[in-house]
Amino acid sequence: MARDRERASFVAVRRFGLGARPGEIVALRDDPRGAVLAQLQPRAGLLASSDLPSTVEALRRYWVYIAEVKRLREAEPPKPMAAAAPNSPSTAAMSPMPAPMPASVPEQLHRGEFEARLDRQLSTTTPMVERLVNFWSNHFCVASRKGPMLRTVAGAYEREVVRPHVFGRFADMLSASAHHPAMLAYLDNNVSIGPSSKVGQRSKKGLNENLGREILELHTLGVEGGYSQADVTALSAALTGWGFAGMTAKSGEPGTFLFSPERHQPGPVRVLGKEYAQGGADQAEAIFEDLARHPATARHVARKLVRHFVGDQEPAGLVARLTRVFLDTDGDLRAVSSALVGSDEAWRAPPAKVLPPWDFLVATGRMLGIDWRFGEANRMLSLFGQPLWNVPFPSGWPDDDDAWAAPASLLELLDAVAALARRNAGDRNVPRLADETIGAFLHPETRRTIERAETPEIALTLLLMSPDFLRR
Amino acid sequence: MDPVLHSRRGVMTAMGTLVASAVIPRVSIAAPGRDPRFLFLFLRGGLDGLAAVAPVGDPHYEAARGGLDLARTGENAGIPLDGTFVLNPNMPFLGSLFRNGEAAIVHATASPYRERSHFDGQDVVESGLGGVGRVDSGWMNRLIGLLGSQERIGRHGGLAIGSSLPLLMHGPAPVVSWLPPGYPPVKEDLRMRLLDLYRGVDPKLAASYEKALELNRAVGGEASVEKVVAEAMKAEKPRGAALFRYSGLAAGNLMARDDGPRIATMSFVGWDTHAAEGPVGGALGRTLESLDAALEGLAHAMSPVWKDTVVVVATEFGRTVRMNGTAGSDHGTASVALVIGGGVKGGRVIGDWPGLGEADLYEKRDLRPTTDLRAVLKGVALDHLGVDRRRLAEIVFPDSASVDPLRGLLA
Repeated sequence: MARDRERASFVAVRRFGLGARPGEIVALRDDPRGAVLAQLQPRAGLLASSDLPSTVEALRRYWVYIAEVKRLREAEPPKPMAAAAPNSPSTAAMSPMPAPMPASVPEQLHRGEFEARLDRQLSTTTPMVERLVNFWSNHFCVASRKGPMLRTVAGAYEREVVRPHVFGRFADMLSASAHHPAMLAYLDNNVSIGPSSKVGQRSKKGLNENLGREILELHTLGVEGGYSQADVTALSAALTGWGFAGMTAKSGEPGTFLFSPERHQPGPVRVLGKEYAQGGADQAEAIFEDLARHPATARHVARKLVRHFVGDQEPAGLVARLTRVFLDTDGDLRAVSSALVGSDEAWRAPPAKVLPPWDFLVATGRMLGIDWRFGEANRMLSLFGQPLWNVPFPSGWPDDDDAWAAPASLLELLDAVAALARRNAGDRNVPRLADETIGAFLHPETRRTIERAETPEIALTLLLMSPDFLRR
Repeated sequence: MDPVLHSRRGVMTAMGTLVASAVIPRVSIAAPGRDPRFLFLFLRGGLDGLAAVAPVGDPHYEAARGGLDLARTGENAGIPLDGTFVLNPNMPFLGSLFRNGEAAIVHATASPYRERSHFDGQDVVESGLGGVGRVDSGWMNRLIGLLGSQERIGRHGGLAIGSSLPLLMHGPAPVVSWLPPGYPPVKEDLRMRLLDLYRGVDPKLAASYEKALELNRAVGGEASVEKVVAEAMKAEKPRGAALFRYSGLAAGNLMARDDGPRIATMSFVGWDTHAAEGPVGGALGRTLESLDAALEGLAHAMSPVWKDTVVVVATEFGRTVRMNGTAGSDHGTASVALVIGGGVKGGRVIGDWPGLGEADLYEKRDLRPTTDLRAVLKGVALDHLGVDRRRLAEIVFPDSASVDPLRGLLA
């Protein structure tokens, strides 16, 4: 019994956590499962600070910034320093002095948000909450590669769309996501125009199905969820007019959701066989409500959660059970998360998932007390292919067990870890560190390997590269 | 980070990261006796084509480009190409290839994309589609799918090395990727100890790790990395150039091998020159110098197979013709593409020159595109790799039936 609890305490900090901080195991030992369940409190996901501007404020600063950059660029080109004769060799060499550019607001805000998230996850005592934030942020991902506006608001998007709803209703997170300027811009809905709408008839522009399709394929029903192209087109038509007020908007506060009737495709739409009457923004909202409680959505979400937390080998029955909870509670994500944490299968299944780069950074930081700073953390994430809030595709980061164990990643990771160990090993007792943080999951062979290492630095390198540390 | 390794990675990110992806199919469609290799080098950020290859003979050039113009004579003069164009003086290696007839320049070329977003512009180039749309695979992957279908995939097939694959290479065909090292390599002994541990505890990690070691040896091993970094530190040239040369060397070493990849891509960033562009002595000048060094490294490593190699260099869009208020240029439309290799019929600047007069410009601000980038790529795929026209228009570049392959790029 004691051994089971011992093992469970390590499951708690790894499978349902962000890696153990020193002493974390001891605090969990009496009731690991209860300790994780106790983290799942309605407001536990929130992250706010006076340094972190809201979406509206971030966009206001962004627009001021781009207006200033535009003004500078459109200014009279600076004259070369000396009036050189035409064709003289000096014209090209004497680059004119450019006007000083203002500090980049997208970069400043990105950095502030990045550090706030990292600090939270390095120090949190409710790591399962943060794991769920990361999961849902990836489910409803946006990417700053779309452009500087996305980089400006991606952090605020996560704090305003994901964090408040991590233990709320799925429908509310879905709706919040689709109303947010970040998602509307990322998946082009702000440029989608109903062909028969006032603007559509005038401009001959039309539908952009990007958001409509991804809501069906990625956010709700899933790719095998039984929808057709006609459903995509219909949802996209219902979403026309969904945008946000810009800097010079005639109506609405800049940076907030704005429904524009002149862009909205008039008429009823039919999605999954059900007709939704002509309306304004409420037309798509009604579709969302139905999508959010559709059995395919429940199954899609349940399966994704199980694969994320347990592994590609889904324990039989667990997905079905979470699906049932999702449907019975109208998508109450606290109930669904609790069912996952409360399941015996999730506590029994062997470690499977290789840590993604973000989680690797956080886990090493928690284990060794490394206070990762933006520059180095950001560089590591880029190098290992997981820059924060910058997924390559709307489908989010890959989540297969071995997705982050590609050959060159491992070799490069070894080099990076060796550098990290050089700075952090000191005279640590690495075998004891392993016992305290990996414990019951430390393979005897791994333990022997690190015991045999001639220096703490080499021992720590091997420990951080060991399957026991890399898989959870 | 330690200072040394920090600067290695630091220089690379400052100058632009470089990722190479590669597949290793045996190309069997092309003519017997040939073993063609093809590399697509993607310049992300929007290359100022008028600063790379300057139309100094255009009567409107100086007036239109004032402040970003290259000199015709003197120490910063461009490298003469023909009666109209000079090459940026930071690219002497490309200049020598051009003189040897191994580099052709296609000017005023653009993908079908006509807006000005990097994100969408890169997606269009990478997807090979006729415009912005839903994308799940890249044209290079679909090309590989056609090439690999008749032959076994080489020993390394299915290997995915490195961080993230570019969209160009996404798709069902097996792809290998490789990333130049960013940290000093650990000692061989430590590597082997980890291999033993993986073999004993986690066979899946062991298999992946063994592939990494194998590929690492194929690239030339870590000794060369250390040497290059050491040389870069004392080099007179910008260190970025020396490191890019290394990346070119390493990718070239891999591609030149008998069992190496035949189709590969690399990306460079750092072309988004909105401010203080400095086409000769400034930021862009240094970036072009690095590109030239990467090409030199590549050509050097691939010299044994150079006659069967074609390298295409392209970007997502060009830049505004006129200099902006911050001594840079903004997102534009047409730019240049380079076609390089031992078998290329080079020494030519190809394409209808649209001119730089006020009325010639696209939307009164950009170089007007006269050659579709897909025509260049289709020409190479057809004449170098032997892919038939129908499949090029249907599979590799859908929506491109009306875009004729540019023929005659190869000698």
